Amino acid sequence: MENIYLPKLAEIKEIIQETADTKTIRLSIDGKSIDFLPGQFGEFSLIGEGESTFGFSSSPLRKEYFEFSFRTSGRATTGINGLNEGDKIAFRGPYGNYFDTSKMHGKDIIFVGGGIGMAPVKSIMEYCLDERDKYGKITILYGARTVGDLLYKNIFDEWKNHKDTEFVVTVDPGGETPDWKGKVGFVPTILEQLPLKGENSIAVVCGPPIMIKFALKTLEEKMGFSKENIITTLENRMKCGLGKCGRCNVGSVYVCKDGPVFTAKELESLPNDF
Amino acid sequence: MEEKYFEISSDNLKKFVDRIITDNYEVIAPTDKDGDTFYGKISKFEEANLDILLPKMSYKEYLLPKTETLFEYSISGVDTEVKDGLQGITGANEKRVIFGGRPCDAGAGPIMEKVFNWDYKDEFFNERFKNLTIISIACEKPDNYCFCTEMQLSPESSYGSDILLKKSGDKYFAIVTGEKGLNLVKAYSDLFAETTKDKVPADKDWKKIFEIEKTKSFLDKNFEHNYFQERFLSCIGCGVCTYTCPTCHCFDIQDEGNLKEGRRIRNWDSCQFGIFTLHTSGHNPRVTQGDRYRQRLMHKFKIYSEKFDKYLCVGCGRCSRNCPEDIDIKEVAKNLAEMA
Repeated sequence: MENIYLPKLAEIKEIIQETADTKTIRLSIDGKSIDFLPGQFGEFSLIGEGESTFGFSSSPLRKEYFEFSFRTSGRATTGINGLNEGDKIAFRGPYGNYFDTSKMHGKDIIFVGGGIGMAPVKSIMEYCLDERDKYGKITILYGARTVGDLLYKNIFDEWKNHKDTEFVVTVDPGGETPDWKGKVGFVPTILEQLPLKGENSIAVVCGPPIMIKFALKTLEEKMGFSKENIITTLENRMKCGLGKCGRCNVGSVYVCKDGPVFTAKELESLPNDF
Repeated sequence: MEEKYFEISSDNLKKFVDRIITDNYEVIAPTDKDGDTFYGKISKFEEANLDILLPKMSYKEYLLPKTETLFEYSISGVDTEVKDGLQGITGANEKRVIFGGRPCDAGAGPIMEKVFNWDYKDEFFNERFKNLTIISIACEKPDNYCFCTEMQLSPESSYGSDILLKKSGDKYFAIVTGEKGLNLVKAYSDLFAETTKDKVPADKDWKKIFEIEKTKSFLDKNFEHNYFQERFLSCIGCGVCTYTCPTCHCFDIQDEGNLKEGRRIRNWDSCQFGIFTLHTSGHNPRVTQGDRYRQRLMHKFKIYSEKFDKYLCVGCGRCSRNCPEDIDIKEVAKNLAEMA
């Protein structure tokens, strides 16, 4: 008889301080990653301080570790923030559906991430970069409010240096520093300037709701992407991750089980409840 | 198993309950406490209040306790010890009987069973549910808040009961729906007399005042309808509707204790609270009380039926009877059906 709420313990291999209030934590169980697919999520906790829901931010093809990124905000994340390398984190998952990469083979892909919404995008993006030959041109657009809010700065070069891969990074107007060499402008604005067409292309988008809203509009109306070829991942407050606790639904869809990955076409049929 | 039919006199029913208690059955029945009636453990038949239509609360807590230990933990240095809550589960006693509940409450168990076994199996719920024997009594006089007939049950429905008792003069007819009920009847066969279906009085022709399918068809098309925002301005968001509901099952998971020892628990939660869906960013998909009451209606009359082919409501009317603002869900569902 299995207790579906019982976590496993994972060891912290590495902690990367991404920004003043965000970190990426690399975990392993018995020295290995776990089986998961990009887009899926888990429940993470320092036992005693409560669980939080995070999407995986690493490529499932990196077999030595799995990772998530988080912002310290409440009791549970403050608990996790206080941990050190070698400490244990309780983990349940993986849960939810995933980005189906088989449908992306041979196509051009644009990855669009905003703020900490880049975390799940990074998982699918690195998955694709790990099997670079299976895809056409890859474009990465990453934006944050300010330079100080950009995560993953330590691996920007790694992303940039793949062949046939363009990496564009931007900050909102006013968020730049004097030595900033990237773009300045909101993500949807910069997106529109990219030399991309919707034909034979897939867009993967995640970020704050307002960014998703305008990025989807730009992709569809100005760049000619069909709704079926725009894929995003939703977040909603969750407790169980198992389709039981009853709070993450958008209309009849449970984000934890039917999602969190949805096409723009699927989102269109949902009520305005997210 | 096909239904089987028995008769039992009122005197023998009393003897039956007293004897199963003597034989170590835990019998939960409507019983008076603090000036009201609740389901609770009784130690003799007389303690059961069978005159009341419905106890204040349903017996949901015997399937899904208000607070439940998912696991206990103790941490010393780098060692974490976890004790599985399923090992110490309480209330999964094979000899547990709910006696004297009504068909609406009986209907709630098999409806909730669906969400707790949708892909992932919640063995906390399952262990309690499979061990529970439910002996219900058919209602003779539903009150104005009742609408079980609209909810695909009836005051005489045997759905969810192992044994349904129907009073007839100074005796009861016992409709036995499955093995669990039959085993109990057989173990006390000196008190029951087998009879045939034709001897059991036919169900009355219970009338519906609205069609729930019409309510659903309104909800299918009118998520943005102003009705929700206007009608539920009066809702104070206390959540009593969800706590007294036999089918509301939404829960929270919390850690209780410190970094050395404690437990992870799940507690009843309520979709009527703003924090229920509040994001870390401050964004909330359900901002107004109208949004939240709409969610309750949607979950009961649309979402659940689309997922599990059952409405998440048995029409007991407790949410209306206990509402401090007198929001009557039967009237609401009827209004929606009329607007469809």
